[in-house]
Amino acid sequence: MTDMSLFLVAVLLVVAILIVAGLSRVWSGPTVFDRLVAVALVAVHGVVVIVVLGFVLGRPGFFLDIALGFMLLAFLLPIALGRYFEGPDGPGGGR
Amino acid sequence: MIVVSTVLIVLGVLFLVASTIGLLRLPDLYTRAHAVAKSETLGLLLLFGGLLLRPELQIDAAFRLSFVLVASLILNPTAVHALIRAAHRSGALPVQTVDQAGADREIQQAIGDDAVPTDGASGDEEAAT
Repeated sequence: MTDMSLFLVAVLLVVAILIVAGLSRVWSGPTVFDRLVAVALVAVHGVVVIVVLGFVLGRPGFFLDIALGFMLLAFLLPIALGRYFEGPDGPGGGR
Repeated sequence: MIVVSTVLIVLGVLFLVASTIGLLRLPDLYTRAHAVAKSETLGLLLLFGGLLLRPELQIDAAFRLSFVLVASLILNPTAVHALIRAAHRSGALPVQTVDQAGADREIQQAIGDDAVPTDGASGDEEAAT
């Protein structure tokens, strides 16, 4: 394992710690929209993890296809759930 | 080239760290969304730009990576903006950093009646239902 690959593994570890920290906001957010903003951040960090993991494993093109699909689904999720919880009479309870 | 790539990746990771700290430490839904939308997008751009400069990247993978970069540049602020618009329409209030109760008391003393309601917890987030 070369030095550059070790550097990318260090980047992976840092972003994994950031995912855990974002999940704590998903757990403790006072309103449902706090949780959804934290879910958007965790999804972006997941895209970063997939792309960097492709570089570490030596097959970036393959993992970039997975990252594209994951990114499109993960950015659709907060928009759809925001539409679901929207409105003062919505399931968000007016929050 | 590899030095520039490493510097860009380190800067991108620093912006991702700043975004996550902002999500955890800022007091308010709107300020948290500010941290997620802006700093996260800049971190993504720097990190993917640094990965684009790496020498082992083939040309088709570079094309896909630049597509991921442009798509995340467009989609990430759009998703957070739609979410915060939904939160605003649901009546989520920002944290008031001014002393709203004190301002209400001053208005009350100035006009001399008790038409202005003074609840002591109007700056609290849980009281903003």
